[in-house]
Amino acid sequence: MKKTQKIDSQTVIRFIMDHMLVVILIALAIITAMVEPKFLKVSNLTNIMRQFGALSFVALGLTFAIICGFIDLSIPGMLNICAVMSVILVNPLGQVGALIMTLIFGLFAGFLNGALITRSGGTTQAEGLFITFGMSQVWSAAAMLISDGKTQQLRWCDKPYTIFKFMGSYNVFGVIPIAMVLFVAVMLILNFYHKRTYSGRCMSLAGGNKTAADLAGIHVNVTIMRTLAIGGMMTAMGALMLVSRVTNASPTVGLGYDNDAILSVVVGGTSLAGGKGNVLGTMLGVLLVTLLSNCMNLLGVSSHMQYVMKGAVLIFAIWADNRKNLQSN
Amino acid sequence: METKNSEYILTMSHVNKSFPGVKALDDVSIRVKRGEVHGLVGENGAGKSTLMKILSGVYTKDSGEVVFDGQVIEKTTPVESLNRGMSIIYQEFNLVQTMTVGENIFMGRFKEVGGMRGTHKKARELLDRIGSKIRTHALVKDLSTSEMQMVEIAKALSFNSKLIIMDEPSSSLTADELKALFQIVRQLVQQGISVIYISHKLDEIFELCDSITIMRDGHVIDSKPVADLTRAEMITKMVGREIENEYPPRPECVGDVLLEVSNLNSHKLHDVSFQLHRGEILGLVGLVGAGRTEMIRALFGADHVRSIDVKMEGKPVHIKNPRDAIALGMALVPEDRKLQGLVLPFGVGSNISMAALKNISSGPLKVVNGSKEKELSQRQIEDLLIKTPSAETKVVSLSGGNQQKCVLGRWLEMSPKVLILDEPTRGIDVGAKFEIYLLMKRIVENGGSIILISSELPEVLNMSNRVLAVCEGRITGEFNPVTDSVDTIMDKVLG
Amino acid sequence: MEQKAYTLQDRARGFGAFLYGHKAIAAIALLYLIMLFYSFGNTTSFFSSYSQTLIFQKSTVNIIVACGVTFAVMVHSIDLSIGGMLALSGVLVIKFMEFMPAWLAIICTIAIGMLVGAVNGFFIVHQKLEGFIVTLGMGVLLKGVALQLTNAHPISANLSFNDLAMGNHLVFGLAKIPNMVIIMLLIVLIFSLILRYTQFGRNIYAIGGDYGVAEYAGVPAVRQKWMAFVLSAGLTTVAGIVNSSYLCAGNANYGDMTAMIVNCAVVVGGTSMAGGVGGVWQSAIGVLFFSALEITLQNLVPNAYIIQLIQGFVIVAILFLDSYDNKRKRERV
Repeated sequence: MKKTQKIDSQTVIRFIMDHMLVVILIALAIITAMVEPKFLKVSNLTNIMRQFGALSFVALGLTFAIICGFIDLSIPGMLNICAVMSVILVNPLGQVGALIMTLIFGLFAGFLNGALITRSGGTTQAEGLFITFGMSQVWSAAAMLISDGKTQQLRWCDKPYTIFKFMGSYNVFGVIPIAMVLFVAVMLILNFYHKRTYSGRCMSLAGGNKTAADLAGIHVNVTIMRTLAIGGMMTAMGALMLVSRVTNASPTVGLGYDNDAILSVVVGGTSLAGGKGNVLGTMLGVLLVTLLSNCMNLLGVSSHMQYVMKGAVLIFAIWADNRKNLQSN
Repeated sequence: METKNSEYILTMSHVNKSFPGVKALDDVSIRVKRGEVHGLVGENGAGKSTLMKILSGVYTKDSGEVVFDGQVIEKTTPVESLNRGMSIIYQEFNLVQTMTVGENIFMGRFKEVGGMRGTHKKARELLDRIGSKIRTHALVKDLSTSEMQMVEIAKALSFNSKLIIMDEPSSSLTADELKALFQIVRQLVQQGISVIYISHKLDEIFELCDSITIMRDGHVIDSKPVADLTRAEMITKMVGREIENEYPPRPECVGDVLLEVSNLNSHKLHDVSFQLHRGEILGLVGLVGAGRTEMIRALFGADHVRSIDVKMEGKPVHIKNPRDAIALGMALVPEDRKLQGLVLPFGVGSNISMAALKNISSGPLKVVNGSKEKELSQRQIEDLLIKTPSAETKVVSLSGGNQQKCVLGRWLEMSPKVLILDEPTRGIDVGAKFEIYLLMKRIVENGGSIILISSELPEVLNMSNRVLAVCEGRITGEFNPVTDSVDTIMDKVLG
Repeated sequence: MEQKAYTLQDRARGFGAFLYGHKAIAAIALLYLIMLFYSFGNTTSFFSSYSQTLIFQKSTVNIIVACGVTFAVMVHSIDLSIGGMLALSGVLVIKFMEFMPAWLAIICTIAIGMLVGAVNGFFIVHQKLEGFIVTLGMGVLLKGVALQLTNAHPISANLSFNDLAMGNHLVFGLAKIPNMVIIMLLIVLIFSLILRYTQFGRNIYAIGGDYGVAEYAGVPAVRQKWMAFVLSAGLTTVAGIVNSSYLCAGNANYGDMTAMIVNCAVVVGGTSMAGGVGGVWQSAIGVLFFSALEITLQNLVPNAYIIQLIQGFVIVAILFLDSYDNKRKRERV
């Protein structure tokens, strides 16, 4: 009798450990809702979903990079240049042209990361880390250069920028921001790519063991480049979402996004060792990060303490992940 | 009870050690005299390395008694046994590549030996004692294998070792270097130090050792002075076992020439040429480090080479990377299944379907056909009798034999024309071995060809239709395993 | 064995190898050479004592940080918490000084820094977590604390605090070298010596070179690897104090970029990411290179953004070549 009880409590604990993220999310939401009823108001929920925009796309891209075994630190620089670029290009190319060019640029920049890493023979995370950090510097500087260090306002454009406005402020059924809808669509596409297509499967396998993947006939270098290119494009998407929401583009807008994105991905259960992880988990991770800020704002916690919180969560997340791995092996 | 002044430096009596599913050491008793060279011979898996690891304290014995220098040793750690005067020189040296020779010798004892100057001075003295001229300021990564060995010996001396155990010390030495090593070993013995010399090479054993212990399958088969043994006796004792039960009948379905490799040169290989026939199992025998793995990796496009000419079915082909090789119908089961074969965090199914994924994906997006994938991994799991709860089970949780079957299953799905097996049965229990042998038989009977590399001589000899001896990056002989004797083959293998 | 005669070509190759082995020094020399040629045709203040002092002053804080980080990189890890640590220690020391004497404030701050390092070490060495992510999280956390303490506003210190960094009485006012440079040189010297001539220092090389072998040889690997992180954070605290004294203010936003820049500089200086190779002295040169590059570019290029752009390219190029070289060595046929 006692024994069964013990097993029961163990299974409960295991379940909680396995679904830690969801449990924390729900607990957080309940506590905030009890303390501050404003939390559940439609306007607040819409606000949360809107804040979701930029970070979620960036985190999606980073998820792929990390699954493939690399941590992409070029995110801040990429966000800077893509944001500035999208606004500046509206005049010469029109808004559609600007959007497309920005996305293509993101794709190219991600591809460049991949090419630099694979060409240099870098197979370790550390090598990718420093090279992508250097690229971040390059892109940040380039953003400063083309914007002359000034925040670019969309309203300075002579041509219409209705798509930006639409993406930034339109709500489906009046409550769900279009950014959220777009995100879910892109996430489903990426999830399909990751789980169902040959390239996506190659990505995880290469992340899991590059040597074995190579000997099994997978073109590892091409896989890395393709994955980082997709990551770059997602970062560009994130930049567009950001610009749409605030209707301007500062050349330093990307600062700190790398930390938040890494936090979301790690909390979402993607293993830094490569191979394991999925975009759905990342979505929950992003949700946790945004919810955390929102709840703390509502509860009146200073924005500075949120840094402390994020740092602690990050360390706790990998510690818990590590414990889980140790147990399962 | 042995006393401090006993004739024996090391006495092991009735030592047992089991691992889950395997009895690694079964009632092993060995006695090593002071100031003798004691040879320890046996095939891979005979239990030599387990024995060493128990001595050094990496493993703990299940039962039995170990007496070293008059002291009964119950539990120990590598550091303790070093300080007690027992050094082990492993095949892959315990040296920090990025540090100097002197510092490696006195690692962790910087203060004791009087700082940097003392380190190099004392290291010089030790190296002089064994007649080595290596600069103590040289970095270990710049040394040759034999020089690293000297450093290890000097390190052992620095601990005032009374017993030095050398694990396959000669595996990558040239003849001259070997001579020098022998001289040093004899010198050590004169100084009253005992040496346990582990080797495959019988010539060395006969030349160097005073007494010999032969091990097989975790048992000590025989232990006597070297003068009381003949070479033939020793080989029978090493290899001799009931072969009939362990290997299926040799498949005989050799056809015409399928693959022709010639002019293969790289930094480790010299002018290698060989042919592979249809339906043939071609065995490559050689010592570890002789260049067997390099040969097949070069063939498979996994390593850079200076030159290689490959003809497949009479037509010259270019293999620049593993993808080219796979497209030509080749498949490689690499020697280290955990590092090179499997994607450990993944499931059994994904590991099996890995190579075939491209073929079962379709459309412009190359969507993988999920049901086909499940079907094929399920088929292999059933065909190969892979013991796994499900296809989703992580491959890391399977036993070695089942892991290896996953890698094999991956390639069987591609029905390869040439299957290259590098140490396919290493670390696998007997039952799974037999299944793998049956599988090999089935493959050649269905028209495939196999290149088999194995450190277990009986395995190669019983499974192959033809055997090539590999030594120091060259092919030194071709044999028929049925008609040629083990001795003649081993002669060529040892160069 | 036939003995090869030394040809001119061999010598040239030997010289090339020497340059490669000391690539950071070679790169600095190149910068000075460029400036020398430039100064023939143009007026430049590059060689003025002001500019030269500036190079050192600009590097001082980062060099002290780099000394500590070298230990973390040497044991085959990385320390990204230094950005937050730098900001926090600069703020803390000023806050402490409000209610305790300066020397006690400094000691307390350093003690807190070492404690943080010990926590990093606990997670990385004891719990075997990824150093990159632990220190990244710790950096964010520390920055948050610093922000909270100052409410994100710069806080100013008593003017006399400035003396610690900018006074020049440490060496009897000799040549008007500011104290901070002396402190920096002392730290580089002391920790070079520690790394080079003590049991602990040599063990750090062994642990970084091959953890297993070091452990097997009886090196207390866990404890001393742990110590590397304590040193890394501790020295960063010293740098933070010096920086606050130099600016006579504490700013929680200082040090955002320092983490990556210093880690890069350490690697560029020649401390291998694979661990076990390098030294404090090399890292200092690495940092100096980045400062010299900045000052050189400021002389050559008017636009600050272009300077930043070129710096980025240089980082990418150096790291690319570094790992390309490793790849060539691995694949040598």
